[in-house]
Amino acid sequence: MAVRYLPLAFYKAYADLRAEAARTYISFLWWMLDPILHMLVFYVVFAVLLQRRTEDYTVFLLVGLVTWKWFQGAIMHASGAIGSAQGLMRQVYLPKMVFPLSIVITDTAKFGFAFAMLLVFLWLYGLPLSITYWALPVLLVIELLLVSACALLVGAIVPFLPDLRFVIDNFLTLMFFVSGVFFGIDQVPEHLRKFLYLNPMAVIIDNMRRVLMHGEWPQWSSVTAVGLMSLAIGALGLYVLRRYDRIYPRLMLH
Amino acid sequence: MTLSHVGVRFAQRKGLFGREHCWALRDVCFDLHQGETLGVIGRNGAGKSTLLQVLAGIIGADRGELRSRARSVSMLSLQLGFIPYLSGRDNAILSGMLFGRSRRDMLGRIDQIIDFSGLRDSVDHPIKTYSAGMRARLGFAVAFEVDPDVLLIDEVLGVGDTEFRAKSAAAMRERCRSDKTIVLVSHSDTTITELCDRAVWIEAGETRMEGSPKEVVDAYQSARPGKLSPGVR
Repeated sequence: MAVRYLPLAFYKAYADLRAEAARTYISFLWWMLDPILHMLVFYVVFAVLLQRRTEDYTVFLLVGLVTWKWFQGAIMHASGAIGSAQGLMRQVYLPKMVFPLSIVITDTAKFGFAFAMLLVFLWLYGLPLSITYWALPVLLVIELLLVSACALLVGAIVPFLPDLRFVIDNFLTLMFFVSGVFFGIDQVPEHLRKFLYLNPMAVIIDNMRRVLMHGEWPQWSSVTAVGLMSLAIGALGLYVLRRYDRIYPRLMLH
Repeated sequence: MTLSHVGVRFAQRKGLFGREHCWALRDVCFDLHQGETLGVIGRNGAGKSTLLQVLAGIIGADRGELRSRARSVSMLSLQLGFIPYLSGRDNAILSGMLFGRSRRDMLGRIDQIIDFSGLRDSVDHPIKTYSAGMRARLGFAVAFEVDPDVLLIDEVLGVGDTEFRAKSAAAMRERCRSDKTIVLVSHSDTTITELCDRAVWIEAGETRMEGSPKEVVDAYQSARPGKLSPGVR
């Protein structure tokens, strides 16, 4: 039943992207320019001002940032997905997973642009194309799985507890700092590392760097663990969404 | 479709943790037969809109039972999901898909939609450039073309400027008289008696009467002493 609505999630994402592009003068160029500017800000702060010039620090930072921003953007947007579709869902029946999923699709499309920019930068920077690039699709699919799963769960729960948005905002900030975006987890004291690697985004970012920077193969066991964890989170999200499918349209009437 | 003793309650938040429930529908029973047009009449706040949401499967009943064999039931929602920055064509397809139609299906119907709306020249412009009347035309053309098994109509029959209002209302009346299954909510006695095969009177969330349109409307009218003229909207 739910699969029937996937084309709708895609078309809605396409429509939202077109609408967003139409709102600015240089339209979809922003999807390339925005990540570049974002990366530039962090580059200026960490590489120029704070002089953190360990070897390849810029590349290290950018890989982390692009990978992280996909996750953060999708989760933040998904938390408001059902709330902003209230008007729609009071006029027509739709399975509620459509809304967080179409958010994931738009954010994934934008990530596609940012990731392409990143690959171009890596190439300009002079990093060789290594054989381990073949592992990249797997890593991307695992991150897509994680992003979708978290988006579904957050999207399912926030409408019941709107106050959670503040908690999620701050939790994401905490996660940003402990995911090793601008420091390597190997710089943390030994006894803390294993705790930091419980964070799936830390695992993803670490493995992205292995592949893109060092030409190493991912650590398949931890990547698989992230995949399984995502499936569990996603299943829980879908369960909540289906369980309360006909409750969501009446929530905001309080 | 059969409704037996359907009730829907809404929770009202009181203070930080307190809740208070109020029943928007208490006890609604009626049958909807295939091919008929059923009129629903009742005062403001009687629960008519909530009833349509239950019929459309948007919200579930908290008590009672709704049995349905229809594959698709939807409200005549005009301009459903329209996005101002998107072209009329894309909006029509998006809107149709929100109603449960496939993209291919909508692409096949787009020409009819454009013809009906009379917007051939501006269909590829973003609808934020449309006048309110043009948006109403497109919205009606899409909703009309979607054509579910059971169509739920809340008051509006025709929209737009005088000319299009006549055209759209005529198309709607045509459909009511055909053997489509339709639930029509209206304040207007004439609409109910003219278009419906049967009627139901809802009062304070309960079915007060079910019968022929004439009987129900008469009973409804005589239960409202001191009423001015029949409200035609």
